Amino acid sequence: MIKDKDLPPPYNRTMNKKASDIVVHVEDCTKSFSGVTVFDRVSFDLVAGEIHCLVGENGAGKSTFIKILSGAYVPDSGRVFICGKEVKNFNPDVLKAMGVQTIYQNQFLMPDLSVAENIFMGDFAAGKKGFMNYKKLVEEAEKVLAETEMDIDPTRMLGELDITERQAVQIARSLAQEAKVLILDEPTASYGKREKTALLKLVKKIAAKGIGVIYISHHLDEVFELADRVTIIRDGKKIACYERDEITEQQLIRDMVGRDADLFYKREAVQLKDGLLEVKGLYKKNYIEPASFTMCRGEILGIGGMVGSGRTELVSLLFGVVSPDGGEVLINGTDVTSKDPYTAIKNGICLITEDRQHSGMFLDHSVGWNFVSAIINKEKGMLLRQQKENKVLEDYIGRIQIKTQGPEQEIRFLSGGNQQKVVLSKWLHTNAEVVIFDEPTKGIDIGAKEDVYKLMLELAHEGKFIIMISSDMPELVALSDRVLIMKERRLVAELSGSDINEEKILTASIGG
Amino acid sequence: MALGSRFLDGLKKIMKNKSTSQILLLGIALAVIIIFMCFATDRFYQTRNIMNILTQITALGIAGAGAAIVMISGGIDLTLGNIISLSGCVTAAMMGAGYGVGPSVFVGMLVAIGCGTLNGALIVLSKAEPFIVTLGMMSVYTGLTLLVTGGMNLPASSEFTFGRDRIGDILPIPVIFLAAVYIAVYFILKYTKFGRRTYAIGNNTEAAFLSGIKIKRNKIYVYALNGGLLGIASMIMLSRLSSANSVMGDALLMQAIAAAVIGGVTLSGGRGNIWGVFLGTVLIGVISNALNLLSVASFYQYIVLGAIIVGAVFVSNIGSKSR
Repeated sequence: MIKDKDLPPPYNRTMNKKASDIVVHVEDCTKSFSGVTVFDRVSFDLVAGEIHCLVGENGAGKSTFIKILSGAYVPDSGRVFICGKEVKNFNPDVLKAMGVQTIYQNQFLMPDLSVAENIFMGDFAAGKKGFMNYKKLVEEAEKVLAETEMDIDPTRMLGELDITERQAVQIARSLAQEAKVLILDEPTASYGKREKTALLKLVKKIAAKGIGVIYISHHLDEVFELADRVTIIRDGKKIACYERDEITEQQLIRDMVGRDADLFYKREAVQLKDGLLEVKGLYKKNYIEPASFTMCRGEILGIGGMVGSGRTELVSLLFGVVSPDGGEVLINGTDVTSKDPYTAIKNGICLITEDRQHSGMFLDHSVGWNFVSAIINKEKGMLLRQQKENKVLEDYIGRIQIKTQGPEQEIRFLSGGNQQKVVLSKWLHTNAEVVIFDEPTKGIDIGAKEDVYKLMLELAHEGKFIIMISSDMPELVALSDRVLIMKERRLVAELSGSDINEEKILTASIGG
Repeated sequence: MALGSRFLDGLKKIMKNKSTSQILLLGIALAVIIIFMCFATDRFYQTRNIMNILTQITALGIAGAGAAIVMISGGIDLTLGNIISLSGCVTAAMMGAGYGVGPSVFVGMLVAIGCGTLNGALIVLSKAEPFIVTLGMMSVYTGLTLLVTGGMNLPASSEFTFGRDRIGDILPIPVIFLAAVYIAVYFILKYTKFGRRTYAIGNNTEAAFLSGIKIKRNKIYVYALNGGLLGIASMIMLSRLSSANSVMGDALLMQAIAAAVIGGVTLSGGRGNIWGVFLGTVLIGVISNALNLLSVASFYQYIVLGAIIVGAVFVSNIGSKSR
């Protein structure tokens, strides 16, 4: 049990709370994956009725924390108490039973069932064994819906509700399971202004009922609107915890950044060459607002912004993964706007996707097989010359040091870094002018990372246009000649020269 | 000693690779049955009987190759038997109406290719599961076939006999077709971009699209090629049986897909080797011939075929992760 005297000073003093009001108490929690510590001796408290916001860069450790609290991960060390009881057995069912409810976007909602059925999904406790008692179900649903103070008829089909109402249903569902703690992970990521305001109101109401809310957001305006307290996480460590009144936006951002300069890759300068890539008003409705930018040959253009800000969507339009509604892309005045990847490849554009497993590789097949999978769609002719292509591949294997037994080896047996190098070779072989990297070094080891960076610089020397999306801040800062920032599906800022630093990037990405 | 260890290394390599290991197992199973049959009866190992088996499996083998290509692309075509029936009946009907062999066969082939292309187009346009689309089309093609035949047996032209002819009194002409089709399909799958794209689509549609493959167009080609192969199978059946009826292809649906599955082609797509399908076809043919020679009632043959399919699926899933 936690006693009053154990409480850290700020909140037994300022908030006048008792120990029994503490719903989440985390002591020195640590979690590491294959030797890398992603969550490092973090302590955290949540009081009943409090809204506690969690902020940090992409990959700072917020998700890890949520996964520990919801029972998906078991911490390596440290202790977690929910409502004074220590969690011994980390597993989602146990944590739910203890009163921790996590809400992701539209998770587990069934559009073709009624609101009441959705609320009691999984335990139709209102009914007798094996049978549904609809009358009781609806009555119970009305009770929990009343708690959200939203006027929703429990007999309506979920599919008829707007997104704010759906969010309310999810919250009602948590209340029905007697939530003491509600975790909301980026709830407004795809919301418009009106829906956002409605949701924030709803969250405040829920907290006022005495439920502790942990709220994660990339939008500082929301944080300042909602939070009683704000905890900042960076590189898996808790940097600070402030009462809302004690902190300014600048201070928050300064706490989120601040890495040692030694961590940054040191790149050489590359002479920019003549030749222009122009993107003019490229857009797709409900996908990307019109985006315009230009870049030179030999330039590395970084695209920053938080996950979900529309970075991947922007390059998807460039590569024709999604056909744009309007706007154009020009290389030296020649139109290269692409309606599908086939056209994009013909136009000399290539995209190295973020998710290799899902969209970058053919896992059942060999390295050589993967290597030719794009070039065969660019060059004319019916016949496949695998042996000839394998000779070309041997050059790449030597040049960018791919560790493989050879073209015949199945790609699944390679390490992540070497798989990425094979994917890179596949695209370089198409001789693309515009090389787009979406998270080029995600999930690959340090050595392979440096090889990828070297290759990018080599491509810059050759006069390619290089566009790089990265959530890895040091990577974005160290490699980019310029950085474009995306927020809420539009380009909101352009940084160059000494303005390319973590603080400026974060301010533009999440500032209010 | 050195030879032995090299042999073992080679064997290990084969067993590591899923499709080659399945082919090896198939070969062993086939060899066991053949050796057993040679001892069990002296009628099995005779040129005449061997050629008989090969002739009997020709249509099945060609339809199996088509089914395999479709399955490699991640799809399935349940109409394969119905396309064979429709194409055969149209050809026979034209012959009956006094058209020559040439024009009749030409139209019959067009019908088969047309049905295949239609299947592909519907699958691509509806974005629905190939299983459901072709399930519906089964009924459409059956209806069309009945319209053509009026429920009657249609005799083929008396000049249309290539399915029964032999070269040098030994080598049946259908067997030459079978060999030609398999060599052509092997070449297409291994040495053309179309073949490679077909594997790519079946293995990872998303990555295939992002590599610049025109998924829709390629899928329609796959189903059209399947239609063409079914047309050839249909012509061979028609000339062997010298008549067509509305259910002539029905039994092949199950057997052709079985041959592909036994040969190591997966329903999920992206993998499979055409020679495995060939061995699968031969296995089905040899077993049914063996059961005949041993005077086992045909009811049991259904049970044995079914057991082999399920057994093959067991074998091909050994080592894959289960949940």
